[in-house]
Amino acid sequence: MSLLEVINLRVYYPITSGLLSKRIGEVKAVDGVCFKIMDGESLGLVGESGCGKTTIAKAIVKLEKPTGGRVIYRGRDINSLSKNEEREYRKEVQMIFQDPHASLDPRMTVGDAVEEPLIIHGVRDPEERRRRVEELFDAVGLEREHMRRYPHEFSGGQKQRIGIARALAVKPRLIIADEPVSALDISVQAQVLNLFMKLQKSFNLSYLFIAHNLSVIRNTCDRVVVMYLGKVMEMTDTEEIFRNPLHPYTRMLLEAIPIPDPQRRKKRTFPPAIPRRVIKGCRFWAQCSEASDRCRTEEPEMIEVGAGHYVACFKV
Amino acid sequence: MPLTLPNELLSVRGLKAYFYTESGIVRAVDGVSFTLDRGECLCLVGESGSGKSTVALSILRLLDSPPARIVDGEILFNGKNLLTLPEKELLQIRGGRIAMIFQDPQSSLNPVLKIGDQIIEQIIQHKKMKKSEAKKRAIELLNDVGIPEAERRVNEYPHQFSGGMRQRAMIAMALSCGPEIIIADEPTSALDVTVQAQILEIFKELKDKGLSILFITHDLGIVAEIADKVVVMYAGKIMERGVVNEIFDKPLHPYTRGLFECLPTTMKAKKEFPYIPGTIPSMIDPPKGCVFHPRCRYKFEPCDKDIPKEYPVSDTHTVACYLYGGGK
Repeated sequence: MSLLEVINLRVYYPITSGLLSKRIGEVKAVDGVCFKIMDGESLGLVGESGCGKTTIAKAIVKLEKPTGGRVIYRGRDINSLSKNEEREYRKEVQMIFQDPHASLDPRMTVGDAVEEPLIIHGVRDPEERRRRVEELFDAVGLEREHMRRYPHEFSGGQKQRIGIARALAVKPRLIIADEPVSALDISVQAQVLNLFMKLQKSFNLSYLFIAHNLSVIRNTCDRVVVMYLGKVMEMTDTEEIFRNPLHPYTRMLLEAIPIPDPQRRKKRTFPPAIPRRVIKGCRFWAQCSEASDRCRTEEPEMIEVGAGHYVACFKV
Repeated sequence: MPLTLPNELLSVRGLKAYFYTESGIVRAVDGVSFTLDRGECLCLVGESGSGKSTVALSILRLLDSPPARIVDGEILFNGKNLLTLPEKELLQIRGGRIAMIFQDPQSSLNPVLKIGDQIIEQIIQHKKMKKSEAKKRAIELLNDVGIPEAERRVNEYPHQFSGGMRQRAMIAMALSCGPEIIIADEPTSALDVTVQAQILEIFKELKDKGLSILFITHDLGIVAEIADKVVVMYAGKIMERGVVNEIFDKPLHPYTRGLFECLPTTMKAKKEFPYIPGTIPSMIDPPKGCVFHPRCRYKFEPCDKDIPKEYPVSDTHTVACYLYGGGK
C-alpha cells in the first residue's frame, strides 16, 4: 500500500517587479511531479540544486503551499484534514535537515531539544518524557550522560544524530531527510547512513531521502526519482538506475561522479545549463547530447519502459 | 639561504600552527612538511579538523592572529621563507605569484562590485596596467575559464552568476596575475556534481599548462582525478604520503585504508556501510602517541605511547604507523 502519494504537484513562485510588485512571471520550481512512497520503503529523490527536490519536501510537510496538485497520505489529501488529523499528520511525517548545526537551538540542551516535540505533541508526564528521551539517545547511539550538554559540544555527526532523535521522538512513519549527510565527513557519513538503515528496521520507517549525489542513494534506497528543473526525468529501482540508466540526464549525473581510481582518469565536459525561462520543450535539451528538433519544441511524457521503470525522454 | 632542490617550488617544513583559545591551545597543524614541485598537483586530503585548511592559510599568512600563531617551521617559496618575509614583499606574492581559491565562491566575491571590476582591481594591484587594458585582460580570462559572452558578463554582479560560474570567475581572478602556484581549498565542494566535473577540467588544463596546484579536498574521487602526489592528514599530522598510484593501489595507513573503505561508490547496494568508528579527537588534548590510535583497529603496544615517525616504504611513499617500521 502506498503511504504517501504525490500527484501532479506544482509549486510556482511569482517573479515580481517594480514598486507595486507587479507579477511578471513565475518560476516553476516543481512542475507536475508524481511519485509514491510505499509503506516501509525508502525512496531517493535526486537532482542538482534548483531541481525542486527541497520544495517538494517542504510541500509534503506543509511548509510550502502548492500551486496545484495533491499530496495524499494514507488515502487522505493533506490539505483537507481536520485539525486533529492534521496534528496526527504532523507527528507521523517528520523532517531532518541538511545542516545539523543550524537546525538545533544553541541555547537549548540537546536533551531538551529531543524532549520538545514530546511536549508539543502532548506527552504530559515528565517521567515518561525523560524515559523516552533516554531511549531515543540509546537508539541513535548517543550517551545518556550527554543530555545536559549544548549543541556546540558535539561534532557534526553527533548533531545529526540528535536531529534524528528529535524526529523519532513522536514515533513517525515517514521521515523526510533533506541531504542528511552531505555536511558530514565521509567516515562519519557512513555511520549516520548505517543508523538510518538500522532505524528503518527497528521503527518500521519509510524514508524520502533527498540527495544531490547518486552514490549516497545507492546503499540506502529501494527506488530513485531523478529530477531536473522541476520535472521527473526517470524513476526506477535503485539497482536498475545504476545498471541501466536510460535518461541522458541520469547518465550525465552518473558520469559526473569522480571515480576513485587514478588509472581511469577521463575528460568530462558537459554543456552548461541555460536559464529555465528560455526553455521550451524538454527541459534538458540544452545540456543533452542526444537532443533533436522534437526535443526543443515538445515536452516528452513520462512512459513506462519496463516494470516500474519510468522515463521522460523521446529517445527511449 | 636554505638549501632547496631545483624542482622545488614550495616547501613547507615542520609547520606548527596553533590556535590560542580560551579553552586551551588547539594544535591545528602539528609538524607538517611537504614540497610542491613545479608543474605538479599535490592533493592534501583529510576530513574536517585535519588541519588541511590551516596549512593552506598559513602559506599565505592569512590566519587571524590572534588566536592563531605559527609557532614553528618555515615555508620556502623559491628559497624565500614566506613566514619571515616583510609584509610588503609578501603582498607581491599573495595574489600575485601564489593565488588562492576558496570553497565558497559566494562569500569570496564582493556582492556590490561587478565581477569585472573585482578582477581589474586585482590586476592593477599587481601589474602596471591601464584600466582599459586590465578590462580587456579580464574578459580574456573569463573567456579562458569557459564563461560564455564574457564581454557582457564582465559587467555583471556576482548574484547574476550561478555557483559554477562564480567559481569560474574566482579562478579567472586567481589567474589574473599569472601565478606560479594556485592553492585551492575545496573549490568544488559547494557545487553540483556535473559542475564540479567541469571545474576539475579547468584545473587539469591549468596543470597541463605548467601551473603548480596545491589542491585541498576530502574527496578521494577528485584526488584520483587530478593528483600527482597525495598527502593524507589527520588531526594536524601527516599519516601517509605518496605518488597518487601508490596511495590508491596500496594504501597502508589504517586511516587511509578506512577512508577508502568508506567510499560509497565502492560498495554493494543495501549493505551496511563500513566506517571508521569514533570521531576526530580534540586538538586541545590530543591522544598520547599516534593521534589515530583511539579509532584504529590495528593498534598494539607502542601506539598509545610514542608518536610514530614517517617510515619510508618506497622512495616516494611514507607512512606514519608502527605497523610499517620502528616499534616492533
